[in-house]
Amino acid sequence: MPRRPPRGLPLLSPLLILAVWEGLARARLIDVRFFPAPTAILAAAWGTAQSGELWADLGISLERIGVGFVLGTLPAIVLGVLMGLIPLVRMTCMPVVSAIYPIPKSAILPLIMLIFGIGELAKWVFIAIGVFFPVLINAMVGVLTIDRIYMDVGRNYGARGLNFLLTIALPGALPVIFAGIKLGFGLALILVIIAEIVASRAGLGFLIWNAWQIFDVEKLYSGLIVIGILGYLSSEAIDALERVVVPWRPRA
Amino acid sequence: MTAELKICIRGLRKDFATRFGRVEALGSVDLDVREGELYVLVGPSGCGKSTLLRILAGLEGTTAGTVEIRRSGGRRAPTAMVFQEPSALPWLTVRSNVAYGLRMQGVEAARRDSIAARYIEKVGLARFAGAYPYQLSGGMKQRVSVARAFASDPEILLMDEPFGSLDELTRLALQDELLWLFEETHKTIVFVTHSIDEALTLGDRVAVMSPAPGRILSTIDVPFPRPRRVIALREDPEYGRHVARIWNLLGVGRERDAAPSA
Repeated sequence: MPRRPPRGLPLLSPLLILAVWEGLARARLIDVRFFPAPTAILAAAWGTAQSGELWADLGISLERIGVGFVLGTLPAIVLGVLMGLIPLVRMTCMPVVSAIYPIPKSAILPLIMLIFGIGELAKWVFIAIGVFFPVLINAMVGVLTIDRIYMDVGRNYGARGLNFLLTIALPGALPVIFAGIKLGFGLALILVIIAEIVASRAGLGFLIWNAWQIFDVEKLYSGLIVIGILGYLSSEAIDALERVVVPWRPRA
Repeated sequence: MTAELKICIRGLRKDFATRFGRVEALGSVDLDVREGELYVLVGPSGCGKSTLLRILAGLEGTTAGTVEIRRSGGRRAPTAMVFQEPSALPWLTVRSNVAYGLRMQGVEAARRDSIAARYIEKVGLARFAGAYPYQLSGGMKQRVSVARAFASDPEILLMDEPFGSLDELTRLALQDELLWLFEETHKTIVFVTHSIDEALTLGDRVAVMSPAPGRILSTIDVPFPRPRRVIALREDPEYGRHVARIWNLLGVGRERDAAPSA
C-alpha cells in the first residue's frame, strides 16, 4: 500500500513559490514596482489591519455579500423547487429565466444603479440577482432529478402540498441546491468587488481600486490576499454548513 | 369463506399510450381479496402485475373497470407500498423513515416514535435506528421499507417484488420475517412476485396471471398451515406438487414441448 503523504504537503508548493518570489525581489531580478516582495506585502497588510482600514472594508463587503446572498438565495430556492414540482410554473417562468440568465451580471449594474441609486440597496440587489439564477436553476434541476421512487413513496404515504414539498422535494433537491449555492457564492464575491470598484467609497473592491489609483502596490496585493482568504474561508464554511444540513450523503 | 372482502376489482383494464401506440397492460382483471389474507399475484415479467399494484396504491389511473378498497373508517391510510427498488428516503434516518407514514397521517411525535421503535425492533434494526440508508446493506434497506409499511398501519399492504433484488440468503431471511409479521398482525397484504417458491411460501391464495395483457388465469388456495417457516415448508411433499401445478398454469415449458410439431 502506498504511504500516506505527510499532512503539510499541500502547503509546500505555495511556500516554495513565495520563497522564490522573495528571493527574486530581494535580488532585484523582478521589478518590485509590480511584484513587491511578499514580506513587503505582508507589512502593508499589517499596516492596514492595524489602522482598522482593512477591517472596516472587509466588514462592509461581508455585509453586502451576506445581505445580497440571503436576498437572492431564499426566493431562488422557493421558486426553483416550485418550478421543479409544478410543470405549469416551470413553463411559465422558464422562458423569462432563460432570457435573463445569460446576460452578464456586470452589464446590468448601470441599470440597477439607475433604479436603486448608488447606495447599499443597489449593491444588495446586484448581488442578489447574481446569486438568484444559479440557485434557482439548481433547485429546479435538483427537484427534477429526484429519483421517481421517492416521489412515489411520498405520494403513496399521503404526502400532499406543503408536506410533500418539505419532506420529499426540498430534501431530495438539497444536495444539488448546495452546488448552486457554492456557484452563487463565488459569483457574489465577484459582484461585490465589481460594485465596489464602480460605485463605492468603501469595501474591499474600493480598497483595491484606491490602491491602484494612488499606486500603492503593496496595499493592492494585500487586498487581493484578503479576498483570496475570504473566498477560501467562505467555501469551507459552506461545506461545513452542507455537512450539517445534508448529513445523509456518503462522504469520501 | 366467512372473512369479509377487503378489495374488490371488476373488469379492470389498463392501457398505456406509448410512442408505438396503445399498449394493453391489463386485460379485464377480476379479483377479490379477503380481509386479513396474504394474496399473491404471480406471473411472467411484463404481465401487468406491478401495474395492478400501482393502481391499488393510487399511483396509476385505470382505463376501465372498478377498484374498490373497503375502508374500515378512521384516518387510516388506504395503502402502504413496499417497492422492489430501495425506497427508504435517503434524507431520513431509519427511525424517521419507519415513522414517515404515521407522520403524514398527522400522528403525534411521541406516539409515532414508539410505534416506529416497535417495528424497527421486529425487523432487527434496533441498533441502526439512527443510521441513514446509505449506511445500510440492501437487505437492511428493504427491512426499513417493510417496517415503514407495517408501522403506518394502512388498510392494505402492497408489496411489489420487495425481495426481488436481494441475494438468495437475504431473501429467505426476509420472507421468514414477513411471515412472522403477517402471522402476528394479519394485515391484508397483496404481494406481487415472479417466484413460484415465494408465492407458495407466503401466500394464503396465489393468483396466477397470464402474459400481457394480464388476466387472472386461476386462483389457487395454498393449503399449508400457519405459522409457516420458510425452510420447513420445502420439506412438505405437497409443496412440490403445488410448484408443478403453478408451473403448468404459467405455461412454462409448454412452448418447448410444442416446438417439434410446429
